[in-house]
Amino acid sequence: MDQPEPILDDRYYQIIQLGDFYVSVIKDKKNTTKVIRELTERMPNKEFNYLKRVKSTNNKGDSLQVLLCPKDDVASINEVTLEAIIGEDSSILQYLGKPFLVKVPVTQPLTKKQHQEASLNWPCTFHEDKQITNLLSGKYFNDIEIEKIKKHMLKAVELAQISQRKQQEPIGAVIVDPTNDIIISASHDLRRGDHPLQHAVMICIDLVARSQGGGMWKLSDNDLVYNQDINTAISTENKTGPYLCTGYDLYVTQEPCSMCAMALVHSRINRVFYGSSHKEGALGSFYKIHTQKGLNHHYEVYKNTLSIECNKLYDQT
Amino acid sequence: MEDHPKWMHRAMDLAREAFKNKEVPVGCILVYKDQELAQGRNEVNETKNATRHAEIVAIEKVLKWCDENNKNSDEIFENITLYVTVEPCIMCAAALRQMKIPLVVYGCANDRFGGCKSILPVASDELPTLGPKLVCISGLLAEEAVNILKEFYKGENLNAPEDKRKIKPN
Ligand SMILES: [Zn+2]
Ligand SMILES: [Zn+2]
Repeated sequence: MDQPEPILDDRYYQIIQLGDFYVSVIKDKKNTTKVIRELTERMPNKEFNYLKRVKSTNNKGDSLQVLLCPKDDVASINEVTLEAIIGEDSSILQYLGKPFLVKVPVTQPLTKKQHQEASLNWPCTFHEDKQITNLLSGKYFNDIEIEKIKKHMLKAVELAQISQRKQQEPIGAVIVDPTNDIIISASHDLRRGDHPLQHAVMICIDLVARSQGGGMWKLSDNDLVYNQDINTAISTENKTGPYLCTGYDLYVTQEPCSMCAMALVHSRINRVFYGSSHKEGALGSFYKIHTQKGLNHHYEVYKNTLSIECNKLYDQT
Repeated sequence: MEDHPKWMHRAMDLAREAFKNKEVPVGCILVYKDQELAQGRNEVNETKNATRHAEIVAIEKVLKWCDENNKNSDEIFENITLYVTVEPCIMCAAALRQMKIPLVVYGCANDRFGGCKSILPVASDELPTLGPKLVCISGLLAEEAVNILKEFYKGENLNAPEDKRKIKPN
């Protein structure tokens, strides 16, 4: 099985945008410290704090450009001079050359790739997020993890095949507690029956509720399962017991729709692995509900999990 | 003829009733040809299922009603209007499209989960597989809807994790 592919927020994939900034040359590099200190105080450019203040324009470092401010910040000034930008009372005007415009990155680099791209135009600071680097490396999961993921997704595929034989949408879902690899619930789709909202994921979530003594649909079908020992198993070590799908992982053969993706937000799922993408899917294709700004819970999503087997279910081979 | 204010007042009455019973003060009714077919209330706590929003509960009541009265549920849902005091969440907006409910009339915006316009316009985006677009009419009794929610959550820290709160909103 290939590595499941993480679906991160768009910010991690975007091309670095460039914008106009005024810069000036520091005439004598011995005044660099003074210049930087005063500029940082007068124009901190907080929104762009990833941009280094000074750029050395040749290898010897004897020609230094210093960042003043975004062009837009002085858009109302007719004649853009050092005095107008920094202030007439400034003590560093004498150390600087005439201001001129350059292109600098106006999106903050968040990945190594974006950092390389951005640095071509202007030096940027970059605090590497090791988790993001690993996720983008294409080898995030080790062999043992891959085997577990494969095992659970195969179970979901099996359920999708059962669903197909019952003339239902070929979608299967499994919810697992990753701390002990125990299956909490497993389901297949039933939307073609008399309840159009009974998608595999919605049923799987309701079966988790049932494992906790709740649940709404009380479906009786031997192919739909939930772990009946979970309450007693947890209550010995954890007095509060499980809460919704907190800490659980979902394996589902097809990318969830908007309803199911949002149901997973409400249910506090931990991670979602899916096989095939869907053009209206809400976890990467049409929306990215799992990273949606404004929502109070986010979760990790991986696509192309056991994709060959899943794609066969949807004639996408 | 649809009488939006009349049904919205009715939904608001239900929200007030819920408030008196110390439940999430959201009122939700499904109306078919000037006839109230179902009401819904949030059943998240008793079912331990975070998807049991008032809209979903009401939809299921109509499904049951159709079954018991030998009605074609497609025909019924295609002529239903949802009246709800707060903008439906993303999940419910998607559910309404799948049921082919054409129209929702709501009171105030749902800044935390809204699926008509507040967070994502699931109701009106180009999602043909999900179902026909959902027409949304907003703002009816909005102030009352906001006030009763504020009153309900008064003294409660809305930034606290949901599991630490007394009652969960829609
Ligand atoms: Zn779905
Ligand atoms: Zn909802």
